[in-house]
Amino acid sequence: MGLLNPGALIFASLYIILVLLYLWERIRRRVEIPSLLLWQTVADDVVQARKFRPDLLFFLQVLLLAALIAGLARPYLSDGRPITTARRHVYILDTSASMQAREGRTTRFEAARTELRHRLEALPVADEVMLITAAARPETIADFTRDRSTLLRALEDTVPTDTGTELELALAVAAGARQRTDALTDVVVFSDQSASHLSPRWRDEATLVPFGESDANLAITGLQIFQGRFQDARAARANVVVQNFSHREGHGMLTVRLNDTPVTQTGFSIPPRDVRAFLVPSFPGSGRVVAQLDAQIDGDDALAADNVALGWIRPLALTRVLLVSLATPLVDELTTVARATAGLQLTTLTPEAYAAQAKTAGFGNYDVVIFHRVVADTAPATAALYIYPPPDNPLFAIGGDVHGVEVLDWNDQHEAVGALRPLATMPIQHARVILPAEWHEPLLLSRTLEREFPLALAGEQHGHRVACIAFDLEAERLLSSDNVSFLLFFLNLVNWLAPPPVDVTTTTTGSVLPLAGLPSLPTTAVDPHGRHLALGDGTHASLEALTAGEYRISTDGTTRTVYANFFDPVESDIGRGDNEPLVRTAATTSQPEKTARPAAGAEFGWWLVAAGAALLLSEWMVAMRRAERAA
Amino acid sequence: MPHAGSSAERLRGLLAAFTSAPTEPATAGLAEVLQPAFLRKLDRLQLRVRHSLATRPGNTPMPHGTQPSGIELANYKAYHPGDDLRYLDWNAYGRLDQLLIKTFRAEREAALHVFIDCSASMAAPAADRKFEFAIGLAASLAYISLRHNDPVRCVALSADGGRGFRASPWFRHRDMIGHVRDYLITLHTVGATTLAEGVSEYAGHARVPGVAVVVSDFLVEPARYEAALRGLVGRGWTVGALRLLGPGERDPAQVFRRGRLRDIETGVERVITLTPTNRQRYETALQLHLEALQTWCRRHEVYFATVDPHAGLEHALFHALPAMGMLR
Repeated sequence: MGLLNPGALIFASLYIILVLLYLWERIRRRVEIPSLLLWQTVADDVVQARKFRPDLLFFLQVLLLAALIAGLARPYLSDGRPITTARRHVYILDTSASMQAREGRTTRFEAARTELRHRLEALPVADEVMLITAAARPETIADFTRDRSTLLRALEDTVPTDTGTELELALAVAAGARQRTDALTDVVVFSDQSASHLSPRWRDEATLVPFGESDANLAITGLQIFQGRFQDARAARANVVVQNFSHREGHGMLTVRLNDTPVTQTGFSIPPRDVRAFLVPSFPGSGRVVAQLDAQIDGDDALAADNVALGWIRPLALTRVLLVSLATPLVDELTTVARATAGLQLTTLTPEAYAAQAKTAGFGNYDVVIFHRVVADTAPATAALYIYPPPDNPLFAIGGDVHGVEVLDWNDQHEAVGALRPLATMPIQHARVILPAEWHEPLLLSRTLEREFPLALAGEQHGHRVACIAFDLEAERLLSSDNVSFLLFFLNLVNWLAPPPVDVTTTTTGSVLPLAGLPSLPTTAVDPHGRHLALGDGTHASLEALTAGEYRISTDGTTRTVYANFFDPVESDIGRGDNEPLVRTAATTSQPEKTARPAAGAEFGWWLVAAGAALLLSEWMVAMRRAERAA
Repeated sequence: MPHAGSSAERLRGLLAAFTSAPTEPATAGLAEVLQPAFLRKLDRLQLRVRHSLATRPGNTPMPHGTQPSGIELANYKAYHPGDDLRYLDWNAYGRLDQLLIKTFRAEREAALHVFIDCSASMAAPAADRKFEFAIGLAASLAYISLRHNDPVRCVALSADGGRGFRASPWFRHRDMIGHVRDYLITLHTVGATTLAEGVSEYAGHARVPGVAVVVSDFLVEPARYEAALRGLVGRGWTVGALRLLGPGERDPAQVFRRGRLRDIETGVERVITLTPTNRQRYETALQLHLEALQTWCRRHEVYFATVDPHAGLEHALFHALPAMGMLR
């Protein structure tokens, strides 16, 4: 038997008060009266003796007090075994990519899982356990429970991912769980990360059980494919970055395949902790690029997840452009540009011819219609680019003309501008001042003394992308070598107006990829292991790739491919720092030790309180009876 | 300026005798009597005596004795040999040539016996100051009686006296009020009450009945105070019974709520809590006790009054005692 609230025993001091009350009943003031003659009819008090002689009432009050004090102390019955403090444990299992590193005949993940399983089986029955996996984000796979089978089942279902580790996020989740409970809670982390990677706060509050000693790892940490918007696949190049994270020299063979056909195969040796880039200068066509690393470091490469990288070489996409302009030097310059650009097909019409055809055709067979110095009354049913629109046009409000201005600012968040920094400070001879409207946003900005105005703008109207260049490219000599930035900006703008079809998207594991442009229908994905994932509604679908490889996303016949690569130099660096202790001493929790709560039903404090109430009733009845007898 | 020996001067001397007395608990009750204004008030009072008048000493009628002396002329009678020549009216003899002897109305006196209960109960509860009041009352009655040339004797009913009482000498003149004071300040409360024994014993020894005023709390069994009073009434005394009842006795809640009550005379103790029920019972017992005493006194033509010491001497002398018919 034990007490849950031993502090209540301090109320035992009330016994002193009770005895003093009884003594006070007897130690009365002596009053001298002239005679007891008149007091003969008055009954003597029950308490007459000065000596402390407890009576039935006193014993009832003692029992009443004892029952109340014992009830407050909350006694409970135990089964005779030594009382152990029921604890709570939060176990954090690292499921990042580095945990897949092989250590002898097993992997770090398997070793950690085995250790965790053993700990679960060794815990007292009353202890509760929460399981959290820590990868790119923490996930609670089992809330606090005493059901060992549930915990073991959740543990067996856990698989490592090809992502990095956000261990401190998982520790924060564990800290939150610990704060929500009064029970003694400890946090244990099963990870291959070293303690030095944790902030001092977590080092004090968690116990780290580290796994893994090997640092033998050669990894592809980057696969870059260079292919311009209007470039043919044969002109594409690839750059593969291979890094040796071992403290020994690494050797290996890098094989690059295009559609399962080897393009290049290169053997290499990389010094310890060094990096090397391999350039693939050309590809015979378009398709799936697989960079396969066959690494050899001493005996083996411990981590295989970072030995493969995927890329995509896009086939040539033809962009059909209709130029509506009078015969001007710009037409000749754009014809020259179209001839020099493989994916650009240029057709020219005069404004009159356009107006005549517009009555019967919507020009939907063109990707972009460029209007030079003219704004048609009938807008084309496709994207349009307006160059130096006339002052009186139905689409843009012209506020006047300016001369001799410069590009002072640009909207670098817009993909049509990108990284065209050289546009700045370039002088422009003539430009229209286009007043702002809701449907477009500025791309290039200049200003006069009076106001700021756009030199180029872009937006969307009637479901088609529309852009406008407020200055005359003809006057600015588009192909002039001095103004080649204008040519790049022009081509970027055409690219934005007519983007190439998206067949394949690449991402990195652990990041969330929004899947734009999908129909508003249920979307599913098949991960590299063939597992089906539900991504929700296509409009708001996103993919979090936890495994490196190819994801096939489908929505009602629409299919899209996502290549997820594991490029994480930090995670690929699987070795731990020098002088790092293998096992840290378990940190004690800052929570004070608390008494274990007995099982439900073992407490009987309320019974004692009820007994106290019964004693109170009995005492009252006895007192009443005495009073009646005295009367 | 009053001449020496005048009554005013004697009064001042009398007051000086009182005021020079040491202040003792027993004499605290005399303080009010000592005030000149109060004494002047007392001059207006007079004992009302229905009977129990005695002859003055020396005038006791005896067969063949001398005629009573006095001031008030009653009659003339012819001289016979043997008559006292001092009463011969020489003027009448000169005018009428007859020997005539003057006879006078005999002077009677109302001797006052003030019985003061000196039992210990008169000192409890102390706050009631019953004994002090009894002393003051006795002094006042003595002064009133002496003021009318009636003799006064104070009788302390106390176990100290051996026979149950201790009597003072007779005080026969107002000038002797100092002696009264000297006697009264020697009194103190002690022992059990000797009301029955002391009064009966004293009455048995008295040659002629007088006026008896018993100042007591009468906290004895009815048979005992009845025996005392009956011993006086039966011998022809004019008796007044003054029951002193203080606020502490009237309402014991002023003294205690719960306590160990000790009978100051017998030493017997009782543990009593003054619950409403107990209080009611006490009040009933007190009421019955007073009613029994009053009924007995009325039936035996004994002047009776209940006097509250806290109401003051003036209230007792000018209201309570005239109301009971003993003073006028």
